[in-house]
Amino acid sequence: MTAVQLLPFITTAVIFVFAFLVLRRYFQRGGMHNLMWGIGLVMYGLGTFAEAFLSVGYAPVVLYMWYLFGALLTPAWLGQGTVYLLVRRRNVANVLLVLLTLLSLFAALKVFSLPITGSYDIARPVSIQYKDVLQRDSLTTLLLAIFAFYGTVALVGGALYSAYIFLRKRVMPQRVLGNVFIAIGGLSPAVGGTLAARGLGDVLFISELLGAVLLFIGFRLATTQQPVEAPPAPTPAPTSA
Amino acid sequence: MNQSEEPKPPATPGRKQTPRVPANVLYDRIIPIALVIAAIVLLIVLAVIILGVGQPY
Repeated sequence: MTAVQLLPFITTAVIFVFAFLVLRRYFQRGGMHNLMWGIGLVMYGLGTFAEAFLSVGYAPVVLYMWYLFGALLTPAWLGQGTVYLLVRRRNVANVLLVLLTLLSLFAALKVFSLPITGSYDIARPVSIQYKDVLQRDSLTTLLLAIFAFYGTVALVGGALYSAYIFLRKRVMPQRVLGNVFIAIGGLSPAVGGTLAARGLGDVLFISELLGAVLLFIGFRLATTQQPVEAPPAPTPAPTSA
Repeated sequence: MNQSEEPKPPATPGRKQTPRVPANVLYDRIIPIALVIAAIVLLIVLAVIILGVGQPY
């Protein structure tokens, strides 16, 4: 196992802690955006867990899981959380969620029916050899593009838009900073995935870890109540002993 | 009691105080530049995704 192949283990731990905090927030406070982010983060964690597993062992179902969650679904479901946060018309977000759910189910059926050929070498990162093992067709790559486009526009574009709006209004400094971290954190695995799809598979694992850490920091910054200067306490009236 | 020690008027009851973005290098220079760079990278990634449709990757 190479040092690069150790990274998904760390990423998985970070992501599952992150997912736990987001889902706990959903169960405490509600909010569809929290639920969507929680689901997206669990998918992120399943994808990186599959990566970690595939560096010590091999099972076809794990390779399918890696491609489905790691490559296809995660960005779109994280982006759906941002859609719920930014789109004012609830019906629009709900319709998009129904479409995303249906397309995700179709993608799952499609991915799990892809033929596997050749032999898998656990000494090499999955991001380098998946194209030789998993025989994907044009429909699969079209699905990949649809999910990647929707997720990246919603998650990264949404965070950039939010940061810009708060910065322009000169309010909520922590939220400005948090959204910058979320935007860069969302871009990191998107860039890594794009490069991996073009033969530079080595950068994927580090980009996923960087993305997980930056998203985590961004989420904490954006959701932490920022203290405001409290009005001074009234001067107590002098009392006689 | 001199002028500087006078207590400020209390905030209007029931109205939330919104934290304001401080004027400093981080918010005035670094973050706007980071936003522009991130937006450019976002556009490049999206262009690559669109151009990659149909290609055997």
